[in-house]
Amino acid sequence: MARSIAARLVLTVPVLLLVSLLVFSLLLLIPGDPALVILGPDASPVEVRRLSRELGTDRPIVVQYAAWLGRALAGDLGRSPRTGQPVVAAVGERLPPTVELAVLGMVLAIAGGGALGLAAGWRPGSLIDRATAWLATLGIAIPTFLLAILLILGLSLRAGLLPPSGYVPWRESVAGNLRAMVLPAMTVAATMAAVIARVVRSSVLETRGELYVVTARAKGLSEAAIYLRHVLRNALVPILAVTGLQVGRLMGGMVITETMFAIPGIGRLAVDSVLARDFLTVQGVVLVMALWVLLANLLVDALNLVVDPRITRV
Amino acid sequence: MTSITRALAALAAFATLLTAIPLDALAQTRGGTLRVGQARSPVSLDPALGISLHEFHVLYSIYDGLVGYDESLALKPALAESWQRTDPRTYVFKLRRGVKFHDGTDFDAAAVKWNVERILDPATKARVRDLDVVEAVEAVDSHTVRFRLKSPTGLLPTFLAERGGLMVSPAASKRLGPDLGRNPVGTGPYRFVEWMADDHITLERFDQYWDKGLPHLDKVIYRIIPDESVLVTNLRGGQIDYVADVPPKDLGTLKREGALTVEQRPGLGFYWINLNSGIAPFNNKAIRQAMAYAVDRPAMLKSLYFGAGTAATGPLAPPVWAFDPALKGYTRDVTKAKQKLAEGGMPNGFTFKMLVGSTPMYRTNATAVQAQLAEAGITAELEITETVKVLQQVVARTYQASSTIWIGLNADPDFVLYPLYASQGLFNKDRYKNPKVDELLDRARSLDKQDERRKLYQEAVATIVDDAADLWLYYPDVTAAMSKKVRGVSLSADGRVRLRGAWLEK
Repeated sequence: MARSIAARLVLTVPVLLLVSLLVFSLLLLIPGDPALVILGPDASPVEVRRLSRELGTDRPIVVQYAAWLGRALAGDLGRSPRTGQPVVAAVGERLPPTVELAVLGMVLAIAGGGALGLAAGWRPGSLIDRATAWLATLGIAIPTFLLAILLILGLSLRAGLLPPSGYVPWRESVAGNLRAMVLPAMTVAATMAAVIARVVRSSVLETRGELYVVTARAKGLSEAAIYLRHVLRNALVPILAVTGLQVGRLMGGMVITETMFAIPGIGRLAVDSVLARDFLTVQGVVLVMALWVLLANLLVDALNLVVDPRITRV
Repeated sequence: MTSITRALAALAAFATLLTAIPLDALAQTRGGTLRVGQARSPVSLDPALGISLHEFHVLYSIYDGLVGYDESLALKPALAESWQRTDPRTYVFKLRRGVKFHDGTDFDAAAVKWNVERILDPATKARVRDLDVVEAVEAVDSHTVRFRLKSPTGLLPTFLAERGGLMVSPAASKRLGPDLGRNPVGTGPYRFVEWMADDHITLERFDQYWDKGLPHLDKVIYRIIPDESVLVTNLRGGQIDYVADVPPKDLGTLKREGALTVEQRPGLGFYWINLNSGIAPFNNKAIRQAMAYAVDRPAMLKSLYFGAGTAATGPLAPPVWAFDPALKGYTRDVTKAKQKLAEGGMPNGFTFKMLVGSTPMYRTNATAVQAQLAEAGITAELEITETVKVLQQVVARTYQASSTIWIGLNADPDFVLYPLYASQGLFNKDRYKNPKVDELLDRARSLDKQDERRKLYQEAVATIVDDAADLWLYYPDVTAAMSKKVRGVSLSADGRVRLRGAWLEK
């Protein structure tokens, strides 16, 4: 098991290389000369040419990529021509809020969606099942920005329970940090929880009818024991699979949540950098995000090994 | 007897002392933290590198200019106590004594020389272009600086009140290099403490500030809240104290609620449809005039911008000192628009392409103009695309028209008219050309008496408006909303927030 995980870890390197090459070529398709964007409309053509040369954007794409890769392998992702800040520092300072938000959102989604799905699947047709169906539909359908505004208006402005937006670093106050993260985490979790609830419900429904459950019941096992030992464990496999798939989607939706709740995360950095044609920063952000998705999926696969002994390699 | 005399003398001295302190100062309380909310984060706090308006809110707290502005945007002394134009191409500036940078180093003539040369040095990659007119700077003595100019201009003091005149600590800049933008060091009322990217910037009171008694606040925090509705919600909830640039749709509600102080005053900029008069069809004056007659500006202002502004008559907004209130501009008249079309040789109208950037207001304006032009038989095809793409076509002059905003930097008319309408203007090359306007603008630029310049500018504007060089729509107001306890924040027509004299009522 350890060997197959190690093999997967080694594989992330070529995947990251491929991602970086892909992003590099995609960025060059975006119209808008970076030098022009940086200098503004009042720059003389001479200055634009000079800056292009400094940025290297006047050279063939293969040469640009090779130069970037060479420096990147040495741990230097360059310095943003827009802000003058090293890319590694820019990405580094925005990573913690995003990772925290993603993790909290996932925990909330798995706990909430999982619980609803289990309850709904165990008693199909019941009130809780119908309510779950409604909630799941709503969770998938509601746009992130609308949910964010509704949460802010309801739980913050009306009820005064939580701060409407902002980010408090851990080192300043752990309680403050968590309080500020509740609403954003709920926003991030909504869609994912809805998807998980539905998957878990159908998985539980299916398992309930399995012969081994009938056998267990015939043996006189208590309902709780049947549920915990046989149904829940088998339902975990699809939960894990869905979670793995949702991690990537989660990062995509992060931009809106970060913007609505004023969280200084990596999603906003990515969008600002694309708009400003700050390609070096975009590269840095994408690499980190790709790494995050790869590692999260690896973790999910490893957990599958633990949950389902029939699986022997990832 | 003597003790009574002494007591009386002391009392008299005390009374004189009292009257010497302006009444206003007595009412101001010291201390407290002001939390300013803004939608966009500064890109860099190096004055040479930044590009946008909202950066000034923070820059003005950290840096002082050689020259400053008063409330009405007239120039006033700041780090320079006085200046003199000794000949058309030479200025001499006398500097204030006893000024310190936040890192403890002295501000003097050598620092000024170093700052100006830093901006002119191509290696700095400064985006400030104004100072290109400077040929050389010399430190005459420790507190006197002489500027020699490449060409005669009366605008140098104004240029030195903008980014180019904000003084950076040479020692800090040499030490920090490109990291200065994240660790700014100036002579301003507040010194830099921390910057958490995209979240907040914290400053604290600079105790050795040269203007004794200032600042009043202990701390200033600029919080970055990108979504406008959330920004206003935070202000209402008391999480922040001050917001500049309130969305016009919220102004009415905030005023009605009455829980916050709302400030509103005419601004320097305008929303406009930029016409490329270098190429067809807008290289035809009658066609441009037809466009001008087809649009109802007051109606657009009222329905699209909630009336938070003034309908435009030309390129100069009311707070610009050369604004001519007698200038009529164009009012909507579809019959006249059709006549002008016939006069221009296109009686059946024409079709053109309008570039629209991704900002919502650009799109709203473009759609409204499109509908009104249609009634006059003119078809505008909107190409809604990313702002960068618009910019590229505008710079290359391959566009026909674009819907955008002109953010007025400064109350000096030259800052609008020269770049936009002089044939060598930075935003105008190969676009609008009128020798009469060129001559007027060049002449006005070389003079420094406001009255003489005003006449020339008003004549130039009358010509530009008669030429219908562009489609000016309306001048948006400058706005701010704040908690009732916020005092002394000055909001000028330039939309920049100045916290120098700000204080909080207890």
